[in-house]
Amino acid sequence: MSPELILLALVVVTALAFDFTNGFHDTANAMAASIATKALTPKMAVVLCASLNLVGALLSVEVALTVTNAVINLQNADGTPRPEVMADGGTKLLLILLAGLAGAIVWNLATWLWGLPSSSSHALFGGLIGSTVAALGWGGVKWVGEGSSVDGVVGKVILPALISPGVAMIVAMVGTSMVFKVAARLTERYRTRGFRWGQVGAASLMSLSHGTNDAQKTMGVITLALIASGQWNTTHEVPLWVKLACALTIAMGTYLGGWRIIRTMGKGLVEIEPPQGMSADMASASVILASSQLGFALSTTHVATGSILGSGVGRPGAQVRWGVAGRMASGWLSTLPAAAAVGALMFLIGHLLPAPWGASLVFLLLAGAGVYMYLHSRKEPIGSHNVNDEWAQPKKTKDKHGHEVTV
Amino acid sequence: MWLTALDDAWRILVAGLLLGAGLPILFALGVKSIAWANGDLPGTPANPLGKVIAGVLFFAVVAAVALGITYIVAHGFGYTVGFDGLLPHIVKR
Repeated sequence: MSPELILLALVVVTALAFDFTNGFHDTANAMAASIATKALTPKMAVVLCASLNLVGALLSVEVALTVTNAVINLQNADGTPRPEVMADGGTKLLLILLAGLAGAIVWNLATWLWGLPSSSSHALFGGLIGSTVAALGWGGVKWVGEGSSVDGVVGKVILPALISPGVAMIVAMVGTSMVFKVAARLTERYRTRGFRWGQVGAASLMSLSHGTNDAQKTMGVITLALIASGQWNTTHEVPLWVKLACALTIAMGTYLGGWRIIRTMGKGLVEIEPPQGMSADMASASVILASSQLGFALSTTHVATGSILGSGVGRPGAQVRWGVAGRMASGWLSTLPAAAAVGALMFLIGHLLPAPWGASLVFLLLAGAGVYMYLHSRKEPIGSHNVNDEWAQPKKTKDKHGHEVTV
Repeated sequence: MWLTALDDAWRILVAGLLLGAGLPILFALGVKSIAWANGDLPGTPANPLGKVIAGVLFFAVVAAVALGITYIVAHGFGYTVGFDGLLPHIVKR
């Protein structure tokens, strides 16, 4: 195997690994509320979500080849790599992609370990921005869109992150409070069973839409790597194997479940009752589809979290844990810079050695970080068996030195 | 760019409120109508009219969800759903 092929293989494997984390990180967005209200059992929820993600990913034939163009200047408008990153046979571009993906995966795993829903697209953009800056300097980053187009880091990442949780929250708040007014005189049986179908329908819409959107990003990155190394030469099509591999990987990731995040979203923010869960999911699905129609690049994670919060504010008597919400918000703020820092560091490390060796080192570091975080997660495992357990309030106790600590 | 983003934001808010808050309300009214039909609303006698009303309401919600699925699938193939006339139709993006 030639050094170039080894490098390419590492990029493809790492991109699929990112796709996998993208899957389990986002199961919660569609399914957390349905699992919390018991509209679906945890196992049924992940099977439904994974199948619809698979269908969605296979259905999307439109090419998302210019995905990196939103925030960095690696590609021309038609999707072909720019000459300055192709100078040494494309190895620079491949290393930028590898380091950026590694940064995104590390951040996705860390937030999963902490049980924080954070946007996988922001992690991907962050990682790529970091590795691009390390490789090409600050000029490689596209900060704002030209003219009135909502583009660049500000338009595709910062503005949506500020706007979308608020919009989703208002919609879910209004919907939930009205639904509880309508349902006020209903008996318990109607409240729990009647609202299940509406909720499952909305959650299914979100899963399908996730498959069409998110798997495409990885397809775009892999195809870019193939073009850079001369293994593919059209920008109008994605190779079939890339499409199949990405669709299957995101579905497998989704099936795995990301239970730590599902638990925080479904139980941590607010106790969710069935009418409220339905309102939250329908609010999320509507906001996501409306912004997709306008080409406004919001993050499903931010919308789903905003909706669940809003449904808590809208339900009479519900207690929203704003501390948990605050932790999530700080996670969102850190996503781009943190993934960027890891991406930049990975590029600098990878750049120390000749191409295949440097890339292998990056890959080994990434694998090491992944194994470490996985082992750490086993200390307090969360799975389908305990995802719906009561959310314990933090307790203040005295440690062995007599100091007050929060457990 | 800021103005365009704000413009997008309020459009999303309006569409979100119409669909994202409107559909759950219709659905809740549908559930209530079923309870009415079955005589399960305290202080109100059973009335079969409730079933008819529930049917209409649920049909509206299902139609909206079907439109959503059509929209997602159409987008995947490079089409979108247009609303220029009375009925939604699929157009090339």
